[in-house]
Amino acid sequence: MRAMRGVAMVAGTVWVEGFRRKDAYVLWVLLAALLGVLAGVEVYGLARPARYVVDAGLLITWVFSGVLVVTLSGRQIAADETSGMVFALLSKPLGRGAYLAGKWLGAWSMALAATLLFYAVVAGMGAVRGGVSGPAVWGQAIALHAAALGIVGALTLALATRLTAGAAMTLGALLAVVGFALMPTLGARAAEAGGPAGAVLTAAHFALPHLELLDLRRRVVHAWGPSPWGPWLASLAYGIGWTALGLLLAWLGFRRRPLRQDGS
Amino acid sequence: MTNAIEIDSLGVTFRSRRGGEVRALDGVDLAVAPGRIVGFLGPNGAGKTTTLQVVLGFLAPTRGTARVLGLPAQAPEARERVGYLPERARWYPFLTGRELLVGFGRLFGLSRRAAADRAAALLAEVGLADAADRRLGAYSRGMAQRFGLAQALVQEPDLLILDEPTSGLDPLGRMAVRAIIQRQRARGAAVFFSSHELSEVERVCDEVAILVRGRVRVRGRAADLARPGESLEQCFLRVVEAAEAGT
Repeated sequence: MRAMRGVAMVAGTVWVEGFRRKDAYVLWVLLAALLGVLAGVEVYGLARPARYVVDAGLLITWVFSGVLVVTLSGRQIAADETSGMVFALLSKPLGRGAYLAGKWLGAWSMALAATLLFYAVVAGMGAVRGGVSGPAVWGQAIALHAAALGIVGALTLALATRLTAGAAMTLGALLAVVGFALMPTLGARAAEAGGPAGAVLTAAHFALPHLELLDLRRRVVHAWGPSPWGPWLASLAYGIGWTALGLLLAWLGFRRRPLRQDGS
Repeated sequence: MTNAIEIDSLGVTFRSRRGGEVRALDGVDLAVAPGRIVGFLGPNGAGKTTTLQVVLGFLAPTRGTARVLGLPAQAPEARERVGYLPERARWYPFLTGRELLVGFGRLFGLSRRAAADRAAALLAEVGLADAADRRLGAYSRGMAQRFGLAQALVQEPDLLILDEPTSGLDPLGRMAVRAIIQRQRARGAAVFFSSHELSEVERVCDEVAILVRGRVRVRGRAADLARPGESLEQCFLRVVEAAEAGT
């Protein structure tokens, strides 16, 4: 119970920071402005470019939510160490595990909340232009997107336990881009490459998260209907498993690490 | 009676970036009794911060033991009864003083209402009642330092550990901090503080311990440590020079 309170307190401060620094507002306003422009455009003379708008909107949503979760989770530990806040927090009955869990929960839930707003704008724009998919597939897409944010947030936090904020954010963003854009073709590339390069690519194929498994944009955009529940649940479990692994790595990296205010 | 701090043959060794070893602490022995104010002095790099980190459970010793209020320093239960003011802390600038104190109160298991009441009382005690709802980022250095004392007192600790508590304070601020420290002693808490401000230490502390190169070289009442006619500052310089010269 006490640990849960600690997690909630730490997560709450991440939320307050996010709101008072207006991180989410900026991205939401950008998305709304961009979609407003997109919605007003006629593509190749088509009167109802709903799919185009939703496709572009969801891509931007993935990018923005990724940026948000990486920046929120990557800067937390370094900022607390530099400011000395980590000493004040951990001198209280707050374990390092609860501290990390709170940081992850705060960053993930904040990014997720902003993502839900992005989805609302995208779905609203799509509906205005004629609508594209039913609520079930939207729900499935959002849940898997949430799982992807969980993975990226946990891995970035794990990196931040050992690296500077800038390095953790850069590598976290790189992991997200690789996991999202390169992983779908990595197996085939490994088979093509063969030799040591193929072995490296094969190792990366199995060692890095496949975020593409959590991406249902095409189903939403092309109105293919909901994914079968079995594969969808397996994808969700995959996301939760990777998130748990990321948090475990973060804990292993942080549990005994000396704390220094100069961040060295 | 159990000592608030009991440090025995404490050693901490760090691995340097070149692969060698750096002995930050080399057999530190120290005890702080309940109801006593002990000043912890030493030149920069002597190992004061490392000692505090071990006592607070942030760092595991390489050898020796550190006990806090009868418990191993790394036991989570020990932190229930310890208040700590870190050096140069910059409190979350996006929270108000009241918000952060309520949050800290919740970490100690206080209900939201009890934490709010405690926060209000503490802010009044350190003279920040009028600034309670101002963001911490807008606090002056002195206000932030007084806030630091307030957050260290949230659960009425049995042991108060202060790292440079009067640093950056004007004379009025120092007097206020001194009064708070003495009130804590009066209610039976032990106070252990690290400082470079020797006149402050001389004025407030029952005992001092001087750490040089990872070892406590002398400890006792300031009046007993100093030679006749010698100030604490002169005594400090003598001890440090002797330790540096290896005598």
